[in-house]
Amino acid sequence: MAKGYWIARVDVHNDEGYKPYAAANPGIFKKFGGRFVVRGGKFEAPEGTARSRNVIIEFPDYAAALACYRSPEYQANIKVRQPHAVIDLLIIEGYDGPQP
Amino acid sequence: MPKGYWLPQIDVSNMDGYKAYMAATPPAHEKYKGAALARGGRSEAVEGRARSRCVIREFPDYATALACYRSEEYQRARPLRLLHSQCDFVIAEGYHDPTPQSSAATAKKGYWIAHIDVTDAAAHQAYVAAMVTHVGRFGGRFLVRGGAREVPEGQVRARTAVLEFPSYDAASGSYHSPDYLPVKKLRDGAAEVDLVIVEGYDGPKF
Repeated sequence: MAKGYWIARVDVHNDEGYKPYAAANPGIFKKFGGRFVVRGGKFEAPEGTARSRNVIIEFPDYAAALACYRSPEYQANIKVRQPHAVIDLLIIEGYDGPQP
Repeated sequence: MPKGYWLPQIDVSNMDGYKAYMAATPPAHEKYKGAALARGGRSEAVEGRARSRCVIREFPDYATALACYRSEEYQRARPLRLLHSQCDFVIAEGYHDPTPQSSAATAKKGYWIAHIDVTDAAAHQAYVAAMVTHVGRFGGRFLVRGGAREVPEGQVRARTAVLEFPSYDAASGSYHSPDYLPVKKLRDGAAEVDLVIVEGYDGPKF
């Protein structure tokens, strides 16, 4: 079964305001079997545009990744984030074909 | 410091009763940072005898694994398990490989995250074929390569690939390698790309 992923790039305008959102997330992700693959961390953007914070969360499958986003808990947490950050969020099915 | 592990094997006689036990364990596991690596997934006893349910739970170290078992929180949950199952329970210390390769293997991984708009599909295919060979030399493997998708917030390009490398240096090195230049040239005019190379997360699991 292919995993599911959230791939987010985020510009945070107000660190203090963003903190309660970030603090509430692990409890929500855990419920859906999510784990952080990337969580901030140093990065370079050699091509195109980027935002200042990159996050990848891995879920057991695509359905779990979608269900987590649509859960009442996360939908409520979006409202905590919205005044303090701009985000591009992609929810995508993982790859389980042959590897290089 | 080597990790510590719980390695219980369980035959459950009454699943409904056993569920009450499982529901009672999170306070202990959260307090002692016990993360489930295996929890009743498929298993096969290829030699000898085994019980039907296998669990592996990883703790920061052996002392913490023992302390969790002996904690008031866990000892409150344990009687619920005894009523509804039989268990062989081992708590073991992990193996700490002292060789440098091992510390490299457990270091933070590195990732390419590429959002792509393809403008010339045939030319882009030639690029992808060459790129797969190139990143393979740096230990790259795909976590995401196309696939079903939704963009519930903001904007990203139409196609996405995520490659995982053994380290940030490998991820960055594969991009900046002189060998990548002729590969990258294949997608000039064939695609527009937002590419970030980012370090992975190896902090505490929740």
